[in-house]
Amino acid sequence: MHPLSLSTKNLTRKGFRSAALVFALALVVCLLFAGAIAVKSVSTSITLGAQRLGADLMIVPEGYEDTARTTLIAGKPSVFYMPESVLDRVRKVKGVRRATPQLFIQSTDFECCTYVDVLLIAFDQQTDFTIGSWLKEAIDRPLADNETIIGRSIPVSTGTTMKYFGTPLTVVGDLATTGLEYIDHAAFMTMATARQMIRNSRVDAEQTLDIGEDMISTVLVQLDPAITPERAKVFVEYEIEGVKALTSQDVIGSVKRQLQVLIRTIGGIGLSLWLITILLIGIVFSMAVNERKREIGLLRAMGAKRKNIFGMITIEAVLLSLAGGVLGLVAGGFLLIVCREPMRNAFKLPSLWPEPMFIFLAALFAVGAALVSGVVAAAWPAYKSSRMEPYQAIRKGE
Amino acid sequence: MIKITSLTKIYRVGKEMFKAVDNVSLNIGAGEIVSIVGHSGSGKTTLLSLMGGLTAPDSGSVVVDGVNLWSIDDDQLAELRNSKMNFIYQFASLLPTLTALENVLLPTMFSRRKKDKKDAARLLDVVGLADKASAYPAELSGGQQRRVAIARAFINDPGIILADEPTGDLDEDTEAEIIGLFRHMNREQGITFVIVTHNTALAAATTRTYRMTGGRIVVA
Repeated sequence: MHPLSLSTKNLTRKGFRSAALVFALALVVCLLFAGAIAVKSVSTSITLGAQRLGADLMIVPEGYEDTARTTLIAGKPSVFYMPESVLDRVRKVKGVRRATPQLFIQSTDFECCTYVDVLLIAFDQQTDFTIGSWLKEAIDRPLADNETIIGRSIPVSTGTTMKYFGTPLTVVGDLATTGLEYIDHAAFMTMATARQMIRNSRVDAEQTLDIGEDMISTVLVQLDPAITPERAKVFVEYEIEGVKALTSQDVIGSVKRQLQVLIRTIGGIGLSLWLITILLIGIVFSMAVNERKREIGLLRAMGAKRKNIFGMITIEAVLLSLAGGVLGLVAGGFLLIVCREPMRNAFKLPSLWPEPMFIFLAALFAVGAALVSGVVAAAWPAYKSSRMEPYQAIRKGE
Repeated sequence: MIKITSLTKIYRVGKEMFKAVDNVSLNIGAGEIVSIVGHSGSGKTTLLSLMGGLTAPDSGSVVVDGVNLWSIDDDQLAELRNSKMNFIYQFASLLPTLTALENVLLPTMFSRRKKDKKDAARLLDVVGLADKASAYPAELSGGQQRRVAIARAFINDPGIILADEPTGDLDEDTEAEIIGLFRHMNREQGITFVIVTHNTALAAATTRTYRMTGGRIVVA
């Protein structure tokens, strides 16, 4: 007969009690696992948002700061415009090293994909320092007029020519999936193409683009290393009226604050639950050992060594912990799937899963935490029972 | 086989000191069936537990097959219990989650000797419970449970059986069966029996009887 079988049968003897412990452990594992994934997911999205900015400052029309943040962090397409003259004025601001304009055009009515929300992003290839690297990966050459590179979510294959507001554009490549609507549903084109598109929309399209010839949506700025973004922001907003400058911190700051609250909340609840669970397991195992004094005495009388008794109780704790761990992982996974959309709305973030390796390590950590909890909590009762004198154990168990 | 010298066991109840076993010396030879009789509280069960190394004496020694039980470490003592002796109790000593067969096999879990289900089934057959191998203790009568415990006591081929009121609470027929079984195992395998009992019939069936009063052997 194998000791594992004895431990398993001991656990099934008090089915409800074992189930309650498994449930308590599952709750901790679920919280740790789901919490770690959720925090990592939010954190990844913030990092990507900051990377997407790709610049030290983003200049937008005054009153559109929140819209711009939402576009960058949540990836929700939105449009706003300001005069192109802002670009020259920005270039003259102290500490500005490079500045490049972008123009956003939103369409929901393409010839190819009716009602798909798409953001057309026009950029200046001469001065750009943010988008070029993505495009380089896709086609490794400059984009020509009437060419576009599209996000992976737009269901069009390379070589297809589509009409955008009366302007034919040929898809020359697509970007890898990012999980960010902003990029996955975007089509990138040159600034000259965008200007032509605005003109064409007035004569050759069902819908006219009401965007002036000299309008842009944003100016992205790279600063001299000597000046901080916060200082440059003050200069820009002082010298140019009607614009606001967003730093990376401005963009991710509010989400970061929410993230810290989330981490503190999950961490606090997780730690409290963890400690309560360890205490609970300790109490339950002490009770179980007390109830089984005679049994333990009998086993010792049959020749069980102290380590056999210690091992038997520890194996019971390990089995419970593993069961709780696996159940907690399943529950955590389910919770993440169910809460994905509410989380996305709460944080205004794209729902990006962390890398598989992170998920694997988080699962391993959560189950490991459950195992440690179980073993640590059962260690003292196991030790105590293994040290009982067999005769006293048999007598006290009567 | 078992040599007990000046054995004393004291219990402390509050401030009171109580000698459960008081300076007992005796020798039990291999193959003997010895009974220890006496009133409740006379120290019989404590003496039996001292012989089996289940509790440590305050003074004196117990030597089994030349080994002083309290000169070896706890692991060695556990091994000695497992290989040389086994216990039969008056109370229900079967594990409720195990079948009769699994209960019989239980001591082999801690043993180096290889015993399998066939050995356990054979012993259940010897005690007349071949058809109850897969029954759980709750499905067995008190007498049947006692017989399973007896079968378990023999699984590791022990040289000594220490039995504490093995026929207590049993009807006369079952009692006679158990006495017969002990004598059979003694005759066939030369097993030494030390039996604590109130039962005069059982005591009469043994080769020697010790009477205990107040922790002392008064008649041998």
